[in-house]
Amino acid sequence: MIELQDVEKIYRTDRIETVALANVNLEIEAGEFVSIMGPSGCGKSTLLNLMGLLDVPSEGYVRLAGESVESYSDRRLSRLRNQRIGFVFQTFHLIADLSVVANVEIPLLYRRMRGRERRQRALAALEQVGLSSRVHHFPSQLSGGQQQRVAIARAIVGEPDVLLADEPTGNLDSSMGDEVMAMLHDLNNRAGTTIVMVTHDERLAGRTGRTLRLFDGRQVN
Amino acid sequence: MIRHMLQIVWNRKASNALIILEILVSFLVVFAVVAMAIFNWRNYHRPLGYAWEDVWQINFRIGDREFDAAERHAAANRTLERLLRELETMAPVVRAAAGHYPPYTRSSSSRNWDTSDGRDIFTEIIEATPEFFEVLDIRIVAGRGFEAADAAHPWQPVIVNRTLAADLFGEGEDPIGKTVDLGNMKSTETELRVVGMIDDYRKGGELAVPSNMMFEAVWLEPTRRPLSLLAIRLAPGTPAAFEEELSKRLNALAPEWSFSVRSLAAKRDAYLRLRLAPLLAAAVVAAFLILMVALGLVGVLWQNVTQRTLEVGLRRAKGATRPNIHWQILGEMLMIASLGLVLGTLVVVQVPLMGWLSFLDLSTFGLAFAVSVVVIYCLAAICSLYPSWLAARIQPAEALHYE
Repeated sequence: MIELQDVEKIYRTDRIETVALANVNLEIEAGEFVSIMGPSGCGKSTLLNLMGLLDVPSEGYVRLAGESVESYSDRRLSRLRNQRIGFVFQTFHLIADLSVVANVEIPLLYRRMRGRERRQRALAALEQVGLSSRVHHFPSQLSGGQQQRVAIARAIVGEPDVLLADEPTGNLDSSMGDEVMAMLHDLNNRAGTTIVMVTHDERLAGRTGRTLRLFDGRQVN
Repeated sequence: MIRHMLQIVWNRKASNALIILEILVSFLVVFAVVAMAIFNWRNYHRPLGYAWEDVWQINFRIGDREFDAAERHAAANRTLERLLRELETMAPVVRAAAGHYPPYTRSSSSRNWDTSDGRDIFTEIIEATPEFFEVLDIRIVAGRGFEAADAAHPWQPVIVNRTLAADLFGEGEDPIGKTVDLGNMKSTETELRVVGMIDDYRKGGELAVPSNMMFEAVWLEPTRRPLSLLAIRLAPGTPAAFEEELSKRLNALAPEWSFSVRSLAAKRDAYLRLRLAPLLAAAVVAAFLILMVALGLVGVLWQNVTQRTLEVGLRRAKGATRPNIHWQILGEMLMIASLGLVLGTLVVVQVPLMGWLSFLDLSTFGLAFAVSVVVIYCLAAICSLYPSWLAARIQPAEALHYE
């Protein structure tokens, strides 16, 4: 599903050159649940950004479902992100001024879809994460766990092939974290969604199918 | 997407209050300036009713050797008659007349009649010798001009403009031969009978509001109070140097009087400068205000985009293209502008409802409103171009980690 070949990511300024990733080669099959671990600053989020087509590698190739994307235009990359990739972030990134259901609808805004269908699909996604009773609440009226569930609903509303989660439990207590992990496992098992999750938690990483470890921007296993 | 933007704008109305207020103030300023500009533009393009080119006005001060008023009036009218006669013998003078209130004059004489059917009709009155119409090329569109035989009538012949005719006798009615309903003044006034109608005589000049006008014929009889000025039409191309010759001749004819000669063209220039200067000043102040508002809007929107960096990153991650982000910021700004315009509309609609600025007719009001709305939308769009361009260029990977 996702393939990275000889990937390097270097951030350059006038004076400094920072190697964020070097010589990364990996392949993630469809339906896998992969965790990425490593100390802070080792390049985990950079790797996730490259997989999510939010950034481009300085060297090497990224392939998504067999498509080599290095020559893709912004429009085409955006369409791929919209249709094939879902994102979940540590700090949820919900829009405070929009209701729960309006937040979940966001990915569908960038598809040709009627408002009624958009709303139905958002409500279905919210039901899937157990938040049917909170659709008209605002993010500030929800607990952290509930907010992350809204973020997951937003990530899955477009039925993506891949879900990229950047420390999805990082801001939650252990019970809420377990709840979110159970949801991700359920998604992986039932819908066959490929999940790549960045985490610092060995316990959670242990519950994924494969763990990829990074150190100073390099794969260590 | 429009509904989504509306939701965002509505839910952020408190934080957008400053922008809404700026839009409201700008709209009111633009509306005032545009309404005045349209009002004056329309007035400028209305027919004047006369031709000012090649017309000179001669003001005079009557010497008062005579102590008795009746004798003074008789002597003055005799002199005026002689002056008119002599002026027409001068080569470049085509026609000469005497009267009150020439074009581009502020002073006026007016009357208010409470007619028998309870209407209140206001009109300005111009007294002039019959030749006044030829001097100023005022066209009689119905009936006739004043004639020498009119002096013998027991009634006062008058010539009215179209608006007064419509007010007096009704729209489309032929006023010729009809007697003016003097109402409350019936017992004291001489009967006024309409002998002719003109399109207009906009004494106040190109920028003046059209008004009811009535001309009363004057014959230089010894008993009447003398008229206040002479007007002459000159042959086209008469040089300004003729003024000297004219002054010498006038002084020779009436050495005890003092004269001042001025062309209507010069009066018109001075009048337009006087009337346009405050309008231009208001327009400059308004333009400056709008520039300030525009800079303010760009600043506020720029800050707004910076504050929304994370949101922009999120939208890009969720599939928004650069144009999507661009249009999102632009669209939201236009919606915010719409909120300001709704408030502005509520304010300006009070103008016709409350009867303020009654000189603004409904079409001027409507046009000024439409133009102001377009100006404000353009202003909002222009001001959001750069911030929306900045937002569209935000890199999603960086934006998602923006703090």
